[in-house]
This record gives sequence, C-alpha cells and structure tokens, in this order.
Amino acid sequence: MRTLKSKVLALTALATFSIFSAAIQAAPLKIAGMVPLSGASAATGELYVQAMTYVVNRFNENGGWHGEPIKLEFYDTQESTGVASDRFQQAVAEGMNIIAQGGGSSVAASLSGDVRRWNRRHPDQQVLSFTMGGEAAGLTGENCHFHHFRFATTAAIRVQALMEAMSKTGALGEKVYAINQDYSWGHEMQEAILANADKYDYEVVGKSLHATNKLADFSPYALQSQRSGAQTVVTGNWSRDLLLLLKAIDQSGVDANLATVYLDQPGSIAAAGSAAEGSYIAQVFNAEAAKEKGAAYMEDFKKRIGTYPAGLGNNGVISMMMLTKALSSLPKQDSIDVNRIALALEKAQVDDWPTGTLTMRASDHQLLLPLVVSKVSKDARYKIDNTEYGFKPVQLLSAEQARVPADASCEMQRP
Amino acid sequence: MSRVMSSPVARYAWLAATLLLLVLLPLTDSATLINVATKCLIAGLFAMGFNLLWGQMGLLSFGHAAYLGIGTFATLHMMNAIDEGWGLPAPLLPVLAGALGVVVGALMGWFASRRTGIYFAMITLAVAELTHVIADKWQGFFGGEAGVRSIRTDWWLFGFQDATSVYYYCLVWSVLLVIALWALLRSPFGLLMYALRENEERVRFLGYRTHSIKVVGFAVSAGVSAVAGSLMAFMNESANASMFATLTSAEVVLNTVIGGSAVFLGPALGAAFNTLFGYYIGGLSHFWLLYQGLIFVLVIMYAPGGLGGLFSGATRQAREGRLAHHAPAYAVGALASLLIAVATITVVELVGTVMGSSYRVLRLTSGETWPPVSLWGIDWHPLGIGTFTFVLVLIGAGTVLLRWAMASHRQALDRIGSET
Amino acid sequence: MVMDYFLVSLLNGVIYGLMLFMVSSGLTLIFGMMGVLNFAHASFYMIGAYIGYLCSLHLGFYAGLVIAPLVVGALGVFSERLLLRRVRPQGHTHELLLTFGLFFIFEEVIKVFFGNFAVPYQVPAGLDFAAFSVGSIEYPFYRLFIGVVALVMFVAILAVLQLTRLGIVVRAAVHRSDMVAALGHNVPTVFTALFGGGAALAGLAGAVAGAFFPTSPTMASDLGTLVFVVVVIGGLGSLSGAVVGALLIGVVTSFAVGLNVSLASLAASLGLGDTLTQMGGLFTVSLSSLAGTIPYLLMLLILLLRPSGLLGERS
Repeated sequence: MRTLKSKVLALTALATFSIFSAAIQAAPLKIAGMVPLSGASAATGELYVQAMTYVVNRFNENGGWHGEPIKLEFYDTQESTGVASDRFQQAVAEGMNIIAQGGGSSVAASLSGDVRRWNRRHPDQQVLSFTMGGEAAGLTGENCHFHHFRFATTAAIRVQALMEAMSKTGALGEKVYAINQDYSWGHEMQEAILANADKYDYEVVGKSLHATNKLADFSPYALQSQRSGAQTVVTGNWSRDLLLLLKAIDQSGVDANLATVYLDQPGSIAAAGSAAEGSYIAQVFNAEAAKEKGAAYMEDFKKRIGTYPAGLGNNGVISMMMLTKALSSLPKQDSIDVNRIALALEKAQVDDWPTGTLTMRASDHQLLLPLVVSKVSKDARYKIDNTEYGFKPVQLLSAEQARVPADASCEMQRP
Repeated sequence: MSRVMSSPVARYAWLAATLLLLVLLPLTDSATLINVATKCLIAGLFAMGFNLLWGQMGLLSFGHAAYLGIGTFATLHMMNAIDEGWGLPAPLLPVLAGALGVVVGALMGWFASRRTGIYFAMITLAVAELTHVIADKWQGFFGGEAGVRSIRTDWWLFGFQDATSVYYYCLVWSVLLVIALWALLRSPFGLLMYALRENEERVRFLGYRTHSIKVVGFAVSAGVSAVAGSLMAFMNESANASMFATLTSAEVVLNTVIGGSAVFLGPALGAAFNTLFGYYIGGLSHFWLLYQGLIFVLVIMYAPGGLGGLFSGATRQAREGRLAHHAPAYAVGALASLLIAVATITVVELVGTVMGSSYRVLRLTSGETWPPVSLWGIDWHPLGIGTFTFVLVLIGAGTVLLRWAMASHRQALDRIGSET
Repeated sequence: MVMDYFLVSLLNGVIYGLMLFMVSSGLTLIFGMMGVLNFAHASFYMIGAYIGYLCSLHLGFYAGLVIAPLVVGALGVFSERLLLRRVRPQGHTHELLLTFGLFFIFEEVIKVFFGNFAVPYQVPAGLDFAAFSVGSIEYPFYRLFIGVVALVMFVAILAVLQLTRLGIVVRAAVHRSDMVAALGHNVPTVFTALFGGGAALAGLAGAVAGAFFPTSPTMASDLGTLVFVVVVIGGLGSLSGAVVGALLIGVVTSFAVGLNVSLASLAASLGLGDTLTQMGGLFTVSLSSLAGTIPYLLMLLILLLRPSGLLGERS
C-alpha cells in the first residue's frame, strides 16, 4: 500500500512528466486531462489534476472498468488555443479516448472543434470531448455536437441561480447594475442579467462593458454603479478584473451587494481580503450546504489527495463521476466504442454527489446540476486560501431549480 | 576537410541538406514531429517576413501580429466559403491572403514609415493594440472567444486531410516565398532598401522617394506575414482574436533576434529553435519562458549576430581553415555553458517547486519542514549542503572554464591577426 | 448629483494620472538622456510592489516605502552597469531589445518566487479610511495618499534637476553628452545614476500603488504599454510632458467610462438615421467600452501629427 506522501508526489510527478510516459498498450480507456499547468492559470489546472485523479483512482481501486483500470494523463495547455491544439494532436497520437478540458472557454471551444474535425476524418478512432471549464453558451449552442459534453455551467445558469437565491432572501433589491468584460462571456452575462429582470422583478439601472484584463483603475465603474442607485452589482468578471472591481467598490463605499461568478478561483479571496466580505457567488459546490454528505466528501478527498477540493476542481470530480457511472452501465467491450459511451452518458445519473442528483441532458449535452449560492463570510465552516473568510451557503438549488432551457441553436446530429 | 568546405558548392551544401531533411521528414511517420515541423515552417516564414523590415531596412515593428492575424482570418473565411461550395482552389488561398496583407500593409506602412526609429516602433505598437481591440469587439468577423472554425477541403488531386499533406503544403509555400524574398533582396530594389537603412539622406539625394521605398517594403513584409497566417489557418483550421495579442508580436521579435537578423535564413532558424524549445521544453518545465528570456538576453549580450551569426561565422572559419584554431575554445566554452545552465536550471526548478502550491500541500501532509524535491531522478533537499555544493561547484567550474575559453579564443584571434 | 459625479470622476482621473506619472517620470528621463526606451521600466514598478509586499509582511508598510526604491534602484544600477553598458556600442536598438528581454525575465522570476496569482498586499489599516464623502460617495484616503506621493516626487525631481549641480549636468547631458564629457564629467556614471534613479522612482510607485491595485506578475505588462503612451504623448524626454500626458490619459479614461454612447447612437441623434446601427459591428460599440483604447488612439494621433509630443522639444 502506498503512503499518502508518495501519492501526492506521484500526483505532482504525473502532472509534470506525464507527457513522456505515453506507452501504447492494449486498449484500456484513456483520458487526456487538458489543463493549464503553467502560465497564469496554472493553479486552476492543479485543481483539475487533483479532482480527476481523486475519482479515477477511487474507480480503479474498486476494480476499474470491468477489471481494467482506466488511464489518466495530463497535458499542459498553457491556457492557449494554439498550444491546446498541439497537445490535442499529441493526445490522439498517443491513443487517448476522451479529451477532458479544464480552464477557459476559448480552449474549450478550440478543443471541441478539434474533436469534431478529428472524428469526421477518423471514423474508426473517434474520441469524446469533455468541457469541464468553459462556460460560453456556444459550446452547447450553435457549436454543439454529439461527441461533446459540458460539465460546467453557463452565464444563464449562474445568473438565474444568483437572482433566485438573492431575491428569495431579499438581498437583491429592485435596481441592478451589470458590470462585465467586453467579450463574449461578459456579453452573455449581461444578456442573462437583462433576461431575468421580469422574472425576478428588478430593473437594470445600468450596464457597463469594459476592456478585458486591461484596465488598472475600476473606480470610475464603482462610481457609475453608485450613481445609478443600484442595490446589487452583478459581474461575471474573473481573476484580475474581479479583484480590481471588488476593491474599487469596497473603497468607494458603494453599499450595493456584489453578485459574482468566479470569486472561488484560487487566490481571489486571499488577494481581495475584507473587500470580498458580503459578496455573493453562485457555486458549483459548497460542502457546508450539503451537511454531513459534504463533510464526508471533503474529508475523503483530503485523505486521498492531501487537500480539500476547491472551486472549479469540483467540475473535474463531477465529470469523472458521470463518466465512471456511464462506464459501469456498459457491458464489457473488446474495443472502445466512444459512441456507446456517449449514449450511456446521456442516460447516466449520479446520486452520490453531496448536493444532489446529476444528469446529462441529451438534447444539447449540458449537465444538469445543483448549485449553491453563497456569501463570503467569517462564519463559513470551510475557510478559503488560509484566510478567515469562507463561503457561507445562502441557498442550495436542486438541479431542477437551477436548470435553464436548452439553447435552441443546438442542432445535434446523432449517429 | 577544409578543402571540401571551401568549394562554392559547399556553401550551398548546407541548404541542400536542410531541404532534403525537410522533404524526407514525414518518413519518420511521427504525427507529433510533423505537427511541430509545420509550426516551425510557419513561424519561420513569419519571422522572414518580419525581418524584411528590420534586417533589411532597420525598421523595428512591434505590431506584426496584426498582419499574421489578417491572413489567418481571411483564410478561415475563404475555407468556410469553399466548404459551402465556392469553387476556390485551396492551394491559392495564401495568394489571396497575401494580397490582402500587402494592401493593409501598404496602408499602415504609409502612416508608420513617416517616422523612423522608436517613433516607427511606437506607431506599429499602437496600430497593433487597436487591431486587437477591433478583433475582440467585431464578433461577426473574428468570432469572439470561440473564434472562427473551419475545415480543410480537398482540391483536385490533392487531399488535405492528414498532417503530412498539410506539412508539404506549408513546405512548398515557405520555400517558394523564401526564394522570392532572396531574389528580392538581391534585386536593385533590395539593395535600395539596404541603402536606406545605412543612410536615408543619401538615398534621397540620389533622387529616390524614400517614403515610397519604405511603404513597399512594409507592404511586402505584411504580405509575407499574412501568407504565414494563411498557412496557420490551413493547419489549425480555427483561430480566435487572442492571436492579435502583443505576445504574438513580441515572439516574432524574439525569434528574429535569437536567429540573427543579419543572416538571410537566421530568422527562420531562430523561429524553429524557439518553436521546438517551447514545444519540448514547455512540456518539461513550467519555467520555460524564463529560460527562453535568459537565452534571449545572452544572445543579445554575447552573440549579437544570433544563432545564424554563430553558424555562419563557424562555417566561414571552416572554409578558411581556421576552425581548428578555435575548436578547443568552442568545445570548452560549450562545456562551461552546459555546467552553468545545469546549475541555473537546478536553482530555478527547486525554488519554483518549493514556492509552488503543491509543495505547500506536501509540507502539510508529509510533516517535514523541507521535504525533498525530485529533479532529474534525484531527491534534492532544498536547504541541504549537497544542493548548495552542487550548484556552487557547477557555477564555479563553469565560470573558470568560460573565462579560459574566452581568453583562448581571443589569443587565437590575435594569432591569426598577426599571421595575416 | 451630476456635479458630485463630475468632481469625483475628475479626482479619480487626476490621481490615476499621477500614478501613471510616477512610473513614467523615470522612463522619460532615461529616454531623454540615454536615448533608450526602457521596456523593463514597468517591471521595476512591479518589483517595487513585490518588495513593498515582502516588507509589509515582515517590517511594516512604511519600511517598504523606503526599502523598495533602494532595492529597485540597486537593481537598475546593476542592469545598466553590467548589462546595458555592454551592448551600448551596438546601438540603441540593441539596448532596447536587451530591456525587452529583461522585461520577460523579471516577470518570470517573480512568478518563480511568488506564483502566478496576485499576492495579498493590502493598504495599511492606518491609511484605510474614507477621506471625505461627496453625496453618497466615499472617497478613499489612500487614493489621495498616492496623489500626494506623486506630487512630492514631481517637486523633488524638479528641484534636483533645476537647483542642484547634478541636475545641471543631467540636463546638459540630455542635450550634448559629448560636450559634458569634454568638460570633465563622467557621463557613463551619470547615466548609471540616472538609470538607477529612474528605476528607484518606479520602485517607489510600485510600493505605493501595489497596495491599492493588486500586486500580480502581470502588473508590468498591464501598465507597460500605457506608460509608453504617456511619454510619447507628453514628448519623449520631457518631464513636464510626462505630467501632462499622464494627467490627460487619467482624466480621459476616467470620463470615458461614463459615456454610454456609441458612434451609431451619436449618428442617429445627429439626424443621420439608423444606417450605422444596422451595420452593427464596431459602430454600435459604446464609447465606454472603448475607454481602454483611447490612449492608443491619442498616441497614434500625436505620432502622426506632432511626433515630438505635446511638450517635447526634439522631433
């Protein structure tokens, strides 16, 4: 039996040197984790490595897929579409069956496109594309295809969850201000904020789009929101743009609530400090909301991996849980037929996820999952980034409550 | 040995051998290798186009990503048109993309080349920033974050469905353009461009309209870059607006400097080197950008002619039969560099790992304050005597050897100087 | 309410501009004297912020304000003496490229030590309060603090340049370095000192501003091209030009955010019809979302119309 330490070492080694350990063997199922392991998003990539390893190791210890362990290898996308395409070529050359992406939408879209073209050209060596991190609507909208599955949320899902929970608890108010990044993600956030106005009875008193990751000073935006009299500021900003906005709003004494999507990226709470206190977030997972089941999951994860699962890493857990569930429902095969895995995934239902049931919608391959809307608070049970803050659950939304209709632009051609 | 090298045929033997190697490369049947080689070709062509401005005319552009990107997106849209049934011959895509690059380049060049030196560079920088913004905002043409997707279609007898065919497609286009560039540089117009760099005023006094010469040079440079972008579109079949980022413009500068702007094929050499470096070292180490930056600075400081300059210097010495005099110094110098490089890499990797978040987890779970780090199959203790001794001995030995090599190289030069 | 908004926007813009000035001042002086556009200058700003952060952990925030400029200044001296000087014989382009390489190296080295994410460098509690309120808007004191530091810096630089002997030599060397050398001054040493001084100023700016804006490895590249814009607009080499350029960019960006108009709506309001709206694309983009691009447009205009900049002397 391996010790905990050697496991973590193996984990790190796996992440770093996996590229050179490709061996061609008789057909176990091979999963390629396409995640950023260097560059500005490396810490996010690490979360996916931990999460996927956790589920896959557990599955293999319990006998694997009909006695055969499934293989998991990681490739560094550096969060660049060009590099991701290179790694995709490498992965298919090394016989990978599932291309599981973690990170941003641009890489997700690029890989989904690579997989579609590859399958068109190589009908006898088809692969599946998993999006664990891209939230752009197009992935399950106009660019959807049968071999692509999304295990992440979208702007529409996140915003609806935020509005549902915040209006229920009376935190929303009647005036909402939308500040978003000026590219497709920010546009989708803004559309979703406008689209929910009637349902949750608020008025969008202002909307700003700003250059992505370019501005150093957000105080003009804080000022705008203050001037509009908004009670809630909703933003899809991530990383640096989120931090700057948080700080600007905090320092200008704006008394509106801030509703966010990406506040649980690693390091965000630490860097924002007290400026983040009281901000809302729609999360894929929050252990505190799932009570004992959540605690059991957290401790089991920590026992196997050495740290608690965090933020987007949970998407990695969810996707691998869905996959292993689908695999278990299939009879033993001589060769791997990804079409059968895809059909099984459409029917898969995971019941042991702490916050509720997970299913895959067959029409657009969007995962239907429960969400938790939380608030940054010192009272939270699990603290983040070694700070005194954590995410205190406000409301747990079941998959049924959190779902939004499928995008009509998805025309999926089924085999 | 030196007899053979000095024959005029030998001057081109290198070229012929390289070309033969490139033609035979797909025989390896390694999809990865062919993929990387195609990238090298495209980056090389881009750098060659860039260097027409810099190497030949002394104009430093910090915004060549714009022209690369224009070629890429124009080609993607044309590929989509072909897929929808337009009868456009696929092999001609780079021609149309290149023509667009020439037109846009002429327009931008007309503005930019009204200024020289740092002002020229700043104009290209501003244009590139603005192009990036336009590409980001204009979702209809540039496709937003998801970008534009397309697919290669076959044409006539040519199938473009596998990596090998794409590789040959890029190889043929690159070779054709490199030959055209070479002819251009040898032409009277090429000499005029060069004269402009050396003394613009004198060229003007000779009656030439120097601004027009610069505009033409800029247009050709942008055209070649657009063809490189077109090949990139053909290879990747998708692109998004992030390729307009400053980093793309910076990369081509790095490639050209490392390769050497004064040697005709230097930029292509530098681009190939950096592409291979990024592909293979980037897979090995998270800190490969740091190593690349260090190499860049070392080249600027100690080999301003770049890799191409070193190579052509060595071949010239070989031709003149002087390589033997320098060989010991070169060998020792290489060994010394290796020692210092190993020491540097050890330090960077150890520090980087120790400061990283997975190491923090390791410290918590292992219970040790400084658990060992595995590198090159050895467990290193971050604060151990062994680690420090290893690094210091390597650096010390490397420095001593390097000093000896440099002194010996100088002596050899002096000796040759006194002999002739 | 409109007046409040105007005043706070103006103040925001001025203070952001002053912060830009702190970084640009060294850059423009170095260019004026040595003819080198230092790509690594914004890196000195970043390193200053990280040193300020380290000091705030162990020695306190105010110690950082002293130590950061000293360390970064020493780094500047080292860069000039050991690196730049060696490539000077090969011309300004090589010097520029060297600083370009240093820019990459500095960013990557910071990543090796501090990782990819922002570090929690915070405004000290003693300075973290609202200075005053305008209507419902609270104005953070620390912003004023940044402004005051920048102003003090400006006055100090001016005093050194105008009133001291060193200042006379520096100003003379900007114009005719050969003449100054002929008069027996050690021009290379003056160069080194100036480079170190410029770096120290950027380091101080980093230590001050890093606590307010996040301190992250990308803060150099975020600011990098913007400070070029400032010095080009003001006139390369001109200190007062840098002040004007920085304030101009600060104020323009601050006000542009509030403009929710697009070219199309502008055309429509002028009675030009809806053609532009129907064309879509760029014409319907609101000006506020273009706030980040205004500096580059300004720079382009200046370069084409008056390359010596607003207050520059030489073309």
